[in-house]
Amino acid sequence: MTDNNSPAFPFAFSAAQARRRRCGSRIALYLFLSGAAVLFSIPLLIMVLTSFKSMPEIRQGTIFSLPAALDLSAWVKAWSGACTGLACGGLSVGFWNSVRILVPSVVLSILAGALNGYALALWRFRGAHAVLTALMLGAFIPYQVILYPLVKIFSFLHLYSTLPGIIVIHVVFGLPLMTMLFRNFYAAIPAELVKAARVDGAGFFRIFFEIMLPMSTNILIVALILQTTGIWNDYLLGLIFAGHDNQPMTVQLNNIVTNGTGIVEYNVNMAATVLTALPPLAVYFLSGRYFVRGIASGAVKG
Amino acid sequence: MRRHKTAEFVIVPTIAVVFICFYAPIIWTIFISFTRSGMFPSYSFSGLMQYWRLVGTERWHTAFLNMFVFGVLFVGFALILGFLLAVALDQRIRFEGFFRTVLLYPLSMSFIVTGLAWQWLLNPAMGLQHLVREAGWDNFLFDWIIRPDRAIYTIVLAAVWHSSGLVMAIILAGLRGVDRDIWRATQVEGIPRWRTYLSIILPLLRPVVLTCVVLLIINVVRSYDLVVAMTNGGPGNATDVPGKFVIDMAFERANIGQASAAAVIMLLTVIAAVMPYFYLETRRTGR
Amino acid sequence: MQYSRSLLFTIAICSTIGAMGPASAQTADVLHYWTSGGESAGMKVFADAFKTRGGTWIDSAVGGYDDARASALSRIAGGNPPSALLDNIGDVQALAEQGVLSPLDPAAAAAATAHMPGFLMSKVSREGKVFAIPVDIGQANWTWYSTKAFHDIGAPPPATWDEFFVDAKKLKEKGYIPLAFGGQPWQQAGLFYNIMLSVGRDFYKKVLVDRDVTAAGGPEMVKTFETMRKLTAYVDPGSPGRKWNDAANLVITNKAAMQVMGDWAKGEFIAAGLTLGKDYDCALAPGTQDAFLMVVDLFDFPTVTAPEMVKGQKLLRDVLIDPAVQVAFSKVKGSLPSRLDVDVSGLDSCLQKGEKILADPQAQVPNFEFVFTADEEGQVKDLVSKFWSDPGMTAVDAARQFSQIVGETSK
Repeated sequence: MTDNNSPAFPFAFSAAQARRRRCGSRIALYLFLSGAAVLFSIPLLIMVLTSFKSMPEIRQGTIFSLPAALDLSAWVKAWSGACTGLACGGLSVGFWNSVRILVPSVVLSILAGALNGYALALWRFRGAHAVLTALMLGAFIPYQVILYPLVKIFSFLHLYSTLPGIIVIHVVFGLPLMTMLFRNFYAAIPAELVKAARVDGAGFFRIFFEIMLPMSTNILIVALILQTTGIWNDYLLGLIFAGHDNQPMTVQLNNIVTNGTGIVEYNVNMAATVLTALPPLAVYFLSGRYFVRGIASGAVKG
Repeated sequence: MRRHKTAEFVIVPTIAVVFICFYAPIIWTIFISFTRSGMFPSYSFSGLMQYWRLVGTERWHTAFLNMFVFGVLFVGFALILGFLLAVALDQRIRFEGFFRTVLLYPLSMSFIVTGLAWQWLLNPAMGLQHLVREAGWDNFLFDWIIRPDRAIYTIVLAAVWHSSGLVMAIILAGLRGVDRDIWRATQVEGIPRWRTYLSIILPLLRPVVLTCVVLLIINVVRSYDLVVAMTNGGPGNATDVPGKFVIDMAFERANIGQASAAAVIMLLTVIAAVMPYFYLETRRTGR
Repeated sequence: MQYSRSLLFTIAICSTIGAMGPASAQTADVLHYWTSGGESAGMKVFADAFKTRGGTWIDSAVGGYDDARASALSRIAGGNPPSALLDNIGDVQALAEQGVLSPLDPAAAAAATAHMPGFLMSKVSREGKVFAIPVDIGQANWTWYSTKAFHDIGAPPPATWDEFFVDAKKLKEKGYIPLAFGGQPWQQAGLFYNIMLSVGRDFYKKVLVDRDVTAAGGPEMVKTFETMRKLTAYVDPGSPGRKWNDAANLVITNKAAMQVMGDWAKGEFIAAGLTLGKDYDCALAPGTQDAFLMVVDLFDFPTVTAPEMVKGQKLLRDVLIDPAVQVAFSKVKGSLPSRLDVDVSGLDSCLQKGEKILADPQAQVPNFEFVFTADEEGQVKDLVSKFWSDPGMTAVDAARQFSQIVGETSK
C-alpha cells in the first residue's frame, strides 16, 4: 500500500479470453446482488405497503397484500397531524430541532475524530496507545447506565437541557468510534509522507488540512454515514440532554408510536418511521455520488 | 520520531473529555454496584450483595449467555455477508449506487417501528410461514420467533439485516483504497481472483476489518433497541440480553444498584473479550 | 450623567417587568406519558381547565412509562424538575422519601382524603402529608367478548375458569381462538393476577396486602399456576410478543372469543366502530364478580422554586381535584373518577357496573402497583413469563418461587 487513494481497476486490463468465462460468473454476481437487494427490501416493503392502507384494511388483511387505494392520509397525518402529547403537529415539529442538533454534531465529531486519529496514528508521542485504548473502552459502555452521573456533570457545567449540551454529548459519544476509524485509516499511510512534509516546513495543522484531509474522502463518507445515522436516530440522549425546546424528531416519533392504553394506528406509525429515515437515506444517495467522484479524482491524480 | 508538542496539545482535551464523560461515570457506576441504591443512588455500602443476587438470578444467566450466542453469530454472519457484498459491488457492476443504497438503507431505520415489521414478518400466523403455506406448501414451518430455543436466532437475522450494509460500505471503501499494482501483479502471476481476495486483499484490509469488528461488537453491547422491538426479551426471557437487563433494572425496576452490578460485569466481559485482540492489533499496526 | 441616568432607567424598567411577570404568571410543566388518542384527550381536559383559570401549560410528553421516568429522574437530578409528574402509585413513597416531592396544602389534602378511597390515600401519604392526587380508578378485571362467538356456542360468557374450559372446547370446534392473548410479560402478569383473584378475593388480599408467605406458596397459589398452565392450550401460536391491542383486534374481527383486559380495552373496540352490548360486551373476568381490581393514575409534584411554577403547581392541584373536571376527564378517559362523591350517571354501562362494585370497600382490591416495589413486580413478571413459556416448570415450583418474592423483606 504505497498510494492509499489509488483505486483498484483490476479488470480494465483483463485479457479477452477471460471475458467469455466471466460471463457466467457475471450472471451469478447479479443474481447474488439482486437476491440480497430483494431480501433486504422486504421489511421496508411491508412498512410502505402498510402506510398506504386504511386501518380496517390492516385489521383484516395480510401484510403482503397490496393496499386497495393509494391512501396518503397516513403520511399527511404522520408529518403534520399526529398527536405527540397535547400538541398535534406530527413529526414536523421536531424536524428543524433535529437538523440544528445534527449539523454541528456531525461536523464537530468528524473533525475531532479525524484530528485525534491523525495525531495518534502519525505523530508518535508517549502514551499514544494508552490514550487510544482508554478511548476505545468508552465505546463499550451502555450509556443508559451512566445517564445519571452524566446529567449531574452536565448540570454542574450549565450544559444540561441546552442545545450546546446535546451537541457536546453527541461529539463525546462519537469520539471513540470516529477516532478509531480515522486512526486505522491514517495508520496505513506511510510515515515518510509526513516526514517529507515536515522537511518542507509544514506544521501539524497544515499537514492535516492540506495533505491528510484531501486524501480522506472515502473514510470521511463512511464517517458521515455513521454519524448522520447515529445522531439522527438518537432518541434517548436527545430526550434527556436537549431540553424541552430542542427535542429532536425521534422524540415525536416515539410519542406517536409508543402506545400506552390507546388506539394504535399502524399506518401512521409506519409512515412516520419512513419519514424519519428520509434524511439519512438522502445522505446515502448523495454521498454515493461523491463516493464515486472521490475515486475518480484519485484516479486522475494517481 | 521525536515528541511533538502540537500533537500532544490536541490530545490533551480528548483525554480530559474521556475522563470526565466516560471514566468518572464508570467509577461512579462501580461504586454504586456496591450499594443498595434503588430509584435514587444511595451511598451506604452493602458489600457484594448486588453481585450475589445477580449470580442467583436465572434471567441474568440467560441474558449473559445470549450475549455470546448473539455476539458470535451476529459478528460472524455480518462480516461474511458484508465482505461478500463489498467484493460483489467492487466488480465494476452496473447500478452500483442503487445496490449500495438498498443494502445500506436498513441502517437508517429506527428500530422503534422496524421491529414491528420484523415481528409481523416472522409471526407464524401472518408472516412468512402464512405466505408460503397459502402458496401451497402446507407443512412449511418457520416459527422461530415464538420458540424459546430459537427466538434468539431471529434477533441475529434482523441484526445482520441491519448491520451488514455498514460492513459492506466500510470494506468497499477499503477495497477502493487497495493499490492497483497489486492487482496487476496477481494478474501477471496468474493467481485466481478469489484467492487474491482471500489471501492478499483480506490481510491488507486488516485495519478495516478490525474497524468493522469493533463497530459490530458495540452493536452487540447496545443491542437493546433491537431486542425490545422484536421480542421484548421473550418468549419468557429467552431473548434477554445484558443491555436490556441493565436498563430494565435501572428504569422499570428502579434498582440502579442491581443495574450497576450487571453493567460492571458486562463491561468486564467485553473488555476481557476485546482487549487482547485490540491491544495486539494497535501494537502491530502502530509500530 | 446622561448615560448613567438612562442606565438607571433601563434597570428600573427591567426590574419592574421582572417583578410583574412572575407575579401574574402561573406555569405548570407537566411531564406525562399519555401520548395516544384517548389518553392525550384526557390530559387535554386538565390542560384546558388549567388554562381557563389563567395558567400556562408546558406539555412535556414522553411516550412510554420507562422513558418518561428516565426523563423525570434526570430532570430532578439535573435541577430542572417538572412541576407535575404523571406517575404510578408505587413510586410516590420512594420519591417522597427522597424529599423531592412537595406535599399538598392542608385544604387540598383534606379534600382528597375525605372523598377518595382510604386505601388509595394511605399509599400516597407519608408522615401525615399527602404527596399525590389520584385522578382516576381503572378496573383491570374485565372480560371483553365477541357476542357472536358466544352466541354460536349458545353459552353466556364464562363466570368461572372451569366454565371457560368447557366453553373453550366448543369454541375451538367452531374455529374460534378461545382466548385472545398477547404473550408480553405485563399481559401475562395481568392474566396471572386475574386468575389469582378468581381463586379467592380473600386469598388475593392475604398474599398481596398482608404479604402472607405461607399463602403465597400454598395450595391456592399452586391452583393459580395450574389454571394458568391449562390456559396456554387455548391461545393461538401467534400470541408470543403480541401487543394487547392486536389481541383485542382478534376479538373485534371475531377470530377470537374473548380477552381478559382492563377497561382501557373498550377504546379499541369503539375505534373499530363496534357497538357495546351488540357486537361486543363486557363481563367481569371469570371468578372475579365480587371484586374491583383497581388501577390508578395519579400526579405527584416535584419541589420547584420559581415563583410562577410554585403558583402554577397550586393551581394545577385545584384543577385536578375539582369534581367537575374529574367527571369530564372520566368521560374521555373511559375509567371512573377517583372521587367517590361525583355523579357517574352519564357514564357507560360497564363503568356503572364497576361503580356499584367499587362502592363496597371490601370489594376494592389493589393491583400490584400498590403493594409491590417496581423491583419485586419485575421479579413477578420474570417468573410468570418464564412459567408461561416453559412447559417444564411445575406449578408447585412456581408457587415456591412466588412466595420467595413475597417474602423478600430486604429492600
